[in-house]
Amino acid sequence: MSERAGCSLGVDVALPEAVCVPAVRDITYGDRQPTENQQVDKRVAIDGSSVRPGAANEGLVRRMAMALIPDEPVLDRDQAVRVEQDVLEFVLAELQAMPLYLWIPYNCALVCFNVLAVCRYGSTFLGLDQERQRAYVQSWTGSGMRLKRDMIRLIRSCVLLSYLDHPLVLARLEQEQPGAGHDQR
Amino acid sequence: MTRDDGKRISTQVLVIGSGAGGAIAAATLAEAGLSVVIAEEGSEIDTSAMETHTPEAMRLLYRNGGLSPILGRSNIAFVEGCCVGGSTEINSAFWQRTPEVVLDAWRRSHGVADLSPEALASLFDEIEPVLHVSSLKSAAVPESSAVFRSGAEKLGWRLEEIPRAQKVDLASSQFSAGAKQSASRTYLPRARAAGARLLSGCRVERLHYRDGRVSHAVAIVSGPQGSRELEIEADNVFVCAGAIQTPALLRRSGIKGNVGNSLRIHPMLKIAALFDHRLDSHRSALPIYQVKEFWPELTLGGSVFTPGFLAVTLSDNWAENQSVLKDWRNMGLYYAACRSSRRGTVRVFPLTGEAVVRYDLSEEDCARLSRGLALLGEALFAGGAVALYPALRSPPRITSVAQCREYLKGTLPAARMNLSTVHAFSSCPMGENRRLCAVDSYGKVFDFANLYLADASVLPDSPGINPQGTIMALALRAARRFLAGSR
Repeated sequence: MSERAGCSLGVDVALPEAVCVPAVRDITYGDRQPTENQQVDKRVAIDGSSVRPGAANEGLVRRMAMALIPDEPVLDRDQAVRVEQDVLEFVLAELQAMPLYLWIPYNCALVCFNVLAVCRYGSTFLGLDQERQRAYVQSWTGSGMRLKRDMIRLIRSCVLLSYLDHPLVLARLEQEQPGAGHDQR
Repeated sequence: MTRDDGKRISTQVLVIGSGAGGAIAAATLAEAGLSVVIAEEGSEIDTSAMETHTPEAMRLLYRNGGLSPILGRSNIAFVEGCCVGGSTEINSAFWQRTPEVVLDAWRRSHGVADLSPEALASLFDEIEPVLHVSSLKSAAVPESSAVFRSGAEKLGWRLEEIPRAQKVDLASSQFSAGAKQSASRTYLPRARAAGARLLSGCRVERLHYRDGRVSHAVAIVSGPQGSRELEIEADNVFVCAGAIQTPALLRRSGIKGNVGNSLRIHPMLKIAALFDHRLDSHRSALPIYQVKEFWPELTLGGSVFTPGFLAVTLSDNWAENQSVLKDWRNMGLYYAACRSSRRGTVRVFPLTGEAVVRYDLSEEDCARLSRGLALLGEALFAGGAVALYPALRSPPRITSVAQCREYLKGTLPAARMNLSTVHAFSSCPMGENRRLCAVDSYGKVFDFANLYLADASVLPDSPGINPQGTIMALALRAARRFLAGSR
């Protein structure tokens, strides 16, 4: 009964509405619903994840995540390695789960982030040492441009959430007493 | 009887979505003797032993791993469930009956018929025992809630304890761990016991119709062996996929009359508060009080706390604020939420069919949130807070009531606020006013003989409260009406 639109990419692609659904444009208040959508039958959405290259910018995201992992609490070496691995996996999985309409521009922004480091350091972000990577990430975090801040914020939120709520980190935090003084007061 | 030959299923009723609306609609219809198929996009995961706010849960239970922003002048983080049980598996299970004043407003603005408080009360009476809707005894109130209550009481503000759909452990008077009465533990088992068939990992891509009757749905079923297409023929279809996915499905199917044009949300601004004693918020039950003094425009309350959530709230000023994390045990998270004054949209991304949600904060929204920040800060200082850390891009810290009151004088710019929301509704409003509404007063889509909506999308406007109770009551009402009409 339904007929899927074949495509040379090997996936079923939804054609732009203007092409495939001329009979069912947006209906204004009070208009009737369309009575038939057989013409739209050929339009079946693709699963966004099927067109994403799994390893896109993976190395870059790993380095950014490492630069954003908090210094505290301090973990044993073995624990730190395990937690870092889990954090990196989580961040990559989250970026992969993003809707495609965000995933595409976000990955373009990541490429820009990497390349624009040349203007400041004469090297891409991936070519910098760890200290400069941290400084570069920090410069985007505090940027006056919302797009720059938002790009870092997304990865930073994933890093903070997965790091501080990791069972090993939680256990370490529970062991530590809260500080005696409140210098923020 | 449901027929199934592997590529095609036939049933009397197809229910799309298994959350608050879908579960109760499916159970009601199946218990009335109809053959019911429930199509749920997410997986079936046992959440009884799972904390549902952890990174692991985000990957398993949340749509897009929890990364579903609402785009606009200030992007708003939005989360919704994508699993069997839907958002009832990940929410805080707060339960509130729809206030009479809200019902009255809906009747007047959208012409919703037969929506009397009495009629709805009898539905709540029926549902609440099934969900074990309970309150805590005062001795069991967590410290993060106690300080909030103390602050509100000192200021003379009206405060309410919000019940939850969760069993209370009689021995400890605490909410029992893992005993949240989500859809997967209440109405879905009832639906299955009555013969309903649940298809998990089954994403309905579109509905097919002719002459105002839906003939079948096309779904993609994903499993360990890959994906396959499934056709589900149904005499009647209930779409219960929530305020975002329901309009997205309808629009993918070419049904667009007042669909996805009037989304309402409750934008929420969080504050981390530092006290001079331990709250141990991570160990306690969720905060249970809400300040209703400024309702319906503003609600103040407590939020889920983990060190990770705390850090994310502090992260807009991370360089200045990261040191405060060492005092995490003395901290709690609180929020000011407002009713949105504008209408957002739900559209479909052409390449993938994904929902694209947009909401632009209005000046009025920003003014409400500024006021909310000021009032919440005042309550927290009255409750003993020594410093506040709002989710704002400066100032990093607020240290006095006077500083809070500054926010009463001005309006915070949208771009400075780091907002989130867990409440979305009204994208396909119900009522008899066809200029505004997508469905009639009982959720039947206009100009369709056998297509119904029963979820948050049909709420005519923002209810200003946690919406699960309203959604379930209206879904039960819609299912009952359908049964009455089909006999």
